[in-house]
Amino acid sequence: MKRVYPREERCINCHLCEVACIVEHSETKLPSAAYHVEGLRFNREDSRTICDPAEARAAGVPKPLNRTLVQTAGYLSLSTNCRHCEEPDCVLACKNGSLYVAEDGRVLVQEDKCVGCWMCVMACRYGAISRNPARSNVPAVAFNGINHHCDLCPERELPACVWVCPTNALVFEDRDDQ
Amino acid sequence: MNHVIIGNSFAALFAVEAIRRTDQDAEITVISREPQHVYSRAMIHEMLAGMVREPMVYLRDWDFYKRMRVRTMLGRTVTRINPGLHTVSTGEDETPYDRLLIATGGKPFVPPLNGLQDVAYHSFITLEDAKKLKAACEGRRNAVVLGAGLIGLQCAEALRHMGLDVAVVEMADTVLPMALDTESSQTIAKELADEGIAVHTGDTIDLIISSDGHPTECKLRSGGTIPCDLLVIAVGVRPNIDLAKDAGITTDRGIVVNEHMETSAEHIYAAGDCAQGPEIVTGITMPIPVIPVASTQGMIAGYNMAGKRRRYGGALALNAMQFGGVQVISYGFVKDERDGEVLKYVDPPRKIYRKVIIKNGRITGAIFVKDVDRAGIFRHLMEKRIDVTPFKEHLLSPHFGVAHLPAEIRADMFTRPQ
Repeated sequence: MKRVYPREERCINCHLCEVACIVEHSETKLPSAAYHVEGLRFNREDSRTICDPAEARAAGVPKPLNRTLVQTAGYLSLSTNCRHCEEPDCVLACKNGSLYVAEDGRVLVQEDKCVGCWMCVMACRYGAISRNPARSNVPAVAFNGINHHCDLCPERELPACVWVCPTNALVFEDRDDQ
Repeated sequence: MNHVIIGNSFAALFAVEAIRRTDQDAEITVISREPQHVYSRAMIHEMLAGMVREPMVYLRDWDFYKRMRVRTMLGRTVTRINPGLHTVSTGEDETPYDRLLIATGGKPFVPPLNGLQDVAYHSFITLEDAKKLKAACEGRRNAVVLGAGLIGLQCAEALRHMGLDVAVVEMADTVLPMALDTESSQTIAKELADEGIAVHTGDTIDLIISSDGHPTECKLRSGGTIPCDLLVIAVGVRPNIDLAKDAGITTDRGIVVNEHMETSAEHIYAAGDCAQGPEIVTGITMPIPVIPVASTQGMIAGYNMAGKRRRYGGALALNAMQFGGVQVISYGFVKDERDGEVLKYVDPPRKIYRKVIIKNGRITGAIFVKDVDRAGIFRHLMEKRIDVTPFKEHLLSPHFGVAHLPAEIRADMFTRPQ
């Protein structure tokens, strides 16, 4: 199976992969709109779109979340995301079966089932799962959200982070036989 | 090959999937005392509180067992395992097996309490328990939960959410005494207090006063009396080992298994909360009743049952929980600081707390409160027994991540399929 692999010796810490990821997973696929309009939609309580950044800040609306994350230590940087493991620890830990391995091998989440228990965050040894507070299936819980991780860009041949990377520090390869 | 599985939760589920992945022709039978489709016991408090729709508690789609070609005997209780005959009996009939998995989970421990024999009380383990409790809540005002472990507190929070006045009574000096250290349990206790739950630690129920079979008051050892018209006993869960013990299989606290999840009896395996397998930090066997361990043990058992030899490297106690607005993730032994180096990061106004215990270069316990992102990296460090000495000053930095790990460990994680 083809997966995204980072090449840290090439990474220049530019974070374009994070931008491309957010834009790809937006509705308009326009960077400005993805950040400043769609990103402000807060569907936890009333599904309404907040168009004023000041109001959004006051309401605690989170920024749109990237599914790949540039991690750094001094001069070293690399973009990390879901490994789409063969026997995923997150699936083994998921407390209500929201996470699953799809037919094509991708590890995916049922976004309308996840209850934000964060067993997946606990289980994932790659630190590749984030908490998306912009959406919740348990609105009664004050702070909640759903699992958020790489889906390998189902609408694209080449994942957006790999496509955008100016130094080829991310590659999309099948290394299963290596 | 004819596989029989006793139990129908995480261990059973992942065993079924592993067997079917390995052997398309295997016959698989799942026998469970509970009549429901495979569901999560970790969802029953959210179900009780009405926070989630019922379909969200089921672990797989309705057609799961049909797709997996599993014969189900749900609502049937296994009364005896006959290792000599290679059968299990349900009283009415005998089911033969070539390979047997015992995944019977845990059963509630109910302590002797004065007056308990005279009243209706509740356990909070199964979906059935939750439904009974929900029905019993009608018209009740004062709930008392005995036990401030994970189950007790989740039940208490759910009852509070439903509008009842809730008191929790716990023998130990802190809430979640088994799972958390002092600092983190104080944070959780504060969240519970803010939600309006009265917590009585270092105390227990001396006498339950009742009328017509219903509790009315609980007298506490400390001398006080608290009103009670609904009583939940959530003192703890013990591995359910009765069937194995009666069949002459080696048991201790749990059913003793090796790293292949094999019991002392030939062709009989055990996995999940009923099992006692190797633990990774100490190297000794102990029951570790948490979901990821149950699922992984079930999967390993399933592969071995189907003839694909797989070894389990050992269980790590790990848990994720949230009360009020605070999330906690913990790994290993978070209270045992003897002979260890203890690193702490504390930010009380934001309720953030992180602690790592290091012994001989290896992490033996780690706990994260509120800021839990990327905590899973610590699981990797612990399970792979990685010497953290070279980078330990970064461990508690908010920016700690895979970039701080030695290059060969990072390469192992990120340059090949996992």
